[in-house]
Amino acid sequence: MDHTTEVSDWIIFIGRFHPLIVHLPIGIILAGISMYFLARKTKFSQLKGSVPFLLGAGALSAVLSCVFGYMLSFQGGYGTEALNAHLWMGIALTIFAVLAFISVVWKRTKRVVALQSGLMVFLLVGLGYTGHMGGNLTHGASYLTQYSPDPLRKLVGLPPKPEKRPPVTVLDSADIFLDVVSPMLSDYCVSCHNPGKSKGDLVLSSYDRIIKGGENGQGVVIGDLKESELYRRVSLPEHHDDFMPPDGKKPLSGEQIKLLELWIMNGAPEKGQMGDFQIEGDYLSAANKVLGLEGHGGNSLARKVEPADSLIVASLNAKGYVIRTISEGSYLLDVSFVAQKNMENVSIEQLLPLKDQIVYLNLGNRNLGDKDLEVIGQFENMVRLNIHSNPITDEGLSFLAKLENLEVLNLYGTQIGDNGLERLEMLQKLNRIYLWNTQVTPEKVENLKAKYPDLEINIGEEAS
Amino acid sequence: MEFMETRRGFLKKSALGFGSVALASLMGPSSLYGNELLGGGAQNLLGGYLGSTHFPAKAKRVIYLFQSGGPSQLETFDYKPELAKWHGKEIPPSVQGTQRNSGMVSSQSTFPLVKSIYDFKQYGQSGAWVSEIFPYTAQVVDDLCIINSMRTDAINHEPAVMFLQTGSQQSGRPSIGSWLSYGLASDNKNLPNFVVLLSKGGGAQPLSSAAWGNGFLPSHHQGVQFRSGKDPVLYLNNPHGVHDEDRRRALDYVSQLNNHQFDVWKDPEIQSKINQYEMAYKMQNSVPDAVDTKEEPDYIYKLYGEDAKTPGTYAANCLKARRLAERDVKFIQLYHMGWDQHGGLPGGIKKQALGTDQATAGLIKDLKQRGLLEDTLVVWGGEFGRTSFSQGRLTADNYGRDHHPGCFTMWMAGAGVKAGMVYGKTDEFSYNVVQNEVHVHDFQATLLHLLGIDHERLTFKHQGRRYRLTDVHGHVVKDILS
Repeated sequence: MDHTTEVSDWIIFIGRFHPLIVHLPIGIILAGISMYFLARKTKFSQLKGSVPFLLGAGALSAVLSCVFGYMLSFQGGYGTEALNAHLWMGIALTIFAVLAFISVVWKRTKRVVALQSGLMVFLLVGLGYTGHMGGNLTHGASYLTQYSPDPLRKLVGLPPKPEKRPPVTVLDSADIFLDVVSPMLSDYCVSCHNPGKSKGDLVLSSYDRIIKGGENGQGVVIGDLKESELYRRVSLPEHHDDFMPPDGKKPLSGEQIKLLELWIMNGAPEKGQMGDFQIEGDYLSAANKVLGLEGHGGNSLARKVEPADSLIVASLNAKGYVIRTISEGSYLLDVSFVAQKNMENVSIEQLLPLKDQIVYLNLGNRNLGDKDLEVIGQFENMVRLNIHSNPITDEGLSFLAKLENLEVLNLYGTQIGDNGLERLEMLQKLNRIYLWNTQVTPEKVENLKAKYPDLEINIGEEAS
Repeated sequence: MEFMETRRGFLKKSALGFGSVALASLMGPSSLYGNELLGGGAQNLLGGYLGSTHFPAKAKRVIYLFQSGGPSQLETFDYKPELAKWHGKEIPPSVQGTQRNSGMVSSQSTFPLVKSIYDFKQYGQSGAWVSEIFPYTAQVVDDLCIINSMRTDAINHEPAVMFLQTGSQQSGRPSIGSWLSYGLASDNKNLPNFVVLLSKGGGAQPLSSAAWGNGFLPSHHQGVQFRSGKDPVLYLNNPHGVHDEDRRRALDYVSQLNNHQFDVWKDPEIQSKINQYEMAYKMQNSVPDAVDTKEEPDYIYKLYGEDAKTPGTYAANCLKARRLAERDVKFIQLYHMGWDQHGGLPGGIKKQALGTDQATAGLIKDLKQRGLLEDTLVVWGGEFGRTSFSQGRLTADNYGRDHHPGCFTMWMAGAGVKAGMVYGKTDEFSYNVVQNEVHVHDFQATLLHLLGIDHERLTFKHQGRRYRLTDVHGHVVKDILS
């Protein structure tokens, strides 16, 4: 029912109470029907007197629901066919409810009683079906089935769930539409913009319809953000009338909007690996954030581990280690030891029971040798390792080659040289490395920079 | 303390406690809550009000270089070439709007706009504009996030300093460092959690110690001021004839007496006193090592400037700040006064720049090469900005600028902040913020966020209500987070 003429706000305001009011006839009539059948047993015969009242009240509230529902239909945005079916079923159901009421207050003849049972059964089925259609209108046709388990789907003859895309682990292999744009729209937009409930005549559940857009303009104009209604709507200031999603619904994040921009500016393809686009700067960080790939605060720190043994933590605390969980809800640990003059040497093997939990480790200036690195090399979840100002040599560094999650490595003030760095080149996630006051030569650094443009190498100020 | 309970508190806790134990067991021991109960809360490993941060912290410590007096944004970072056209002309009413002026210009009949006497150039890959008075800072702009759109509510020094440091213009609230000390506990039990370093000499404006006060928090959370002279802390050595063992024994007895008193009166301030005695004892060992800069090599002094050899200078304090940061002191607050150029601005600000520029940049470089910038946040800024119009007579080579809360510049660098960024815009006169305003409360919320704290969840109940640093305001400035 597509009304282009202006409708009074009052009508739609009242209409929106339909989903509330509609539960009255459902509940009351259900109660009436069940009492009607129960009252046939002698044990429950006292219920008989209530049936006319319940059916009467049910019929009355059904009339009210119809009126409210009709008002609601003026706001538009529902599929015409589905809406009409629901509307006429509702009206039919109301008529039958009135008939059922009349039949129970009418004279009791045999024929009436036979008719009554039929009416009741019909009412029961009708209530369920009409209610279901209404639910589909409000929540979308796939609302009920979306999370239904596969065995159940088989039973009712639905195709098995569309295969979930495997989680993205490497940015380059993520698909710009299937892994980025489409899930974003599904999460934020599709509940109102689907084939069953196409507000503004916009459907965002299929590629073609996304591009096509709705009554307010073309959804996506390739390479033109201003003309792409989809982009314009989500990127407006939040208080703007045209802003989407509307009030009270969660807006897209800045990063998500950035990626939408990237997609539109790159031809809005239906398929295409992220690796094929030139992604840099803000786009890159946005992509990493949205896909949960960033190292800092990303999945390396989201790892689930067992809590550390509190007795071991307590004994290490007593020896001067400072041990914190990295945040609430996480059992990963940040361990440091602030060097003090004249302190005793503490063997770091005592940290081994925490090897799964430690992600940050700061053991600068602790007189660690190559042998100690053999211990540290077992801390496979390590993200940030600071072992500056220790007598460590190239030999020891080979033990660190197994720290696949390592992102930041601080080696300033150690005795490592060019050869030692060779042994670290297999560390894929390494972002930053500190090499001030070591024997690493500037040539080697240049060489590394050329080879790994994303690796930040700090060799400090001159005069070292 | 743990056995002290009010009647209400006891009833509430036992009711809620039994309820949640029952619930947890219903949900089975595999549920998250059940697990946490079984863990016995052992994962609050260090104490501190929060136990652990709300989310993984980007910054573990802060060095706040407070430039007290209100450095002019117009002669430092907020480049306004348009002002040259307006130089000497009256400020248009459309620009001035309803922003208030201080009483100090109330007798002034004319408000001539004045351009910066110093030239600006773009530096680094980010192309940020920096004034010629900051040649060293200009070298590190790619590590800074310069915010030109700061805004405060206060127009005079004392309330404005208080506002930045405590979130309230009236003194008496805890300062940022105290909140952190209270919330996060210490990473180094041998040094105070919150250290304050003042440059010697100061300026025309006094600086009140309430700026690093603990307010209503227990008093061992207040900033510990290190003296600016040769001995940062007096009487660190035991007096002649007193052995370390004697000192320890005496402290143990004092502590027994204090504990006895505490059992009787239950005054939490007695606990603070015990903490402070213990801290003083530990500092006898830790402080000489922490602040002794004698062993720093020459090239480090070259980095910070020769001034760093003179105790009490800003440069010496910057060097000390780095040493304290290396030892995991949570909040290191520097104050350098004298940025209050009501008149004679060209000469005055030049002198201030000479005293601070090299050391500031040196600190950034030094932190960076040690990898400390990775998890240390550095903050630079004053309490407000200065007016675009001249205070007093404008001559060819002299002018002044009055206090201006409407816009000013601060920068942050290091942990979790986008490097090489210039954020926010002011109008062509640097009088009003026109884009991305960052209010003082927003700055505070962002600072706490970088330390892993949700600013709405670090609270202290006092006089019947829960207080927080950002009062009831503040939004994290997400745009500047890396």
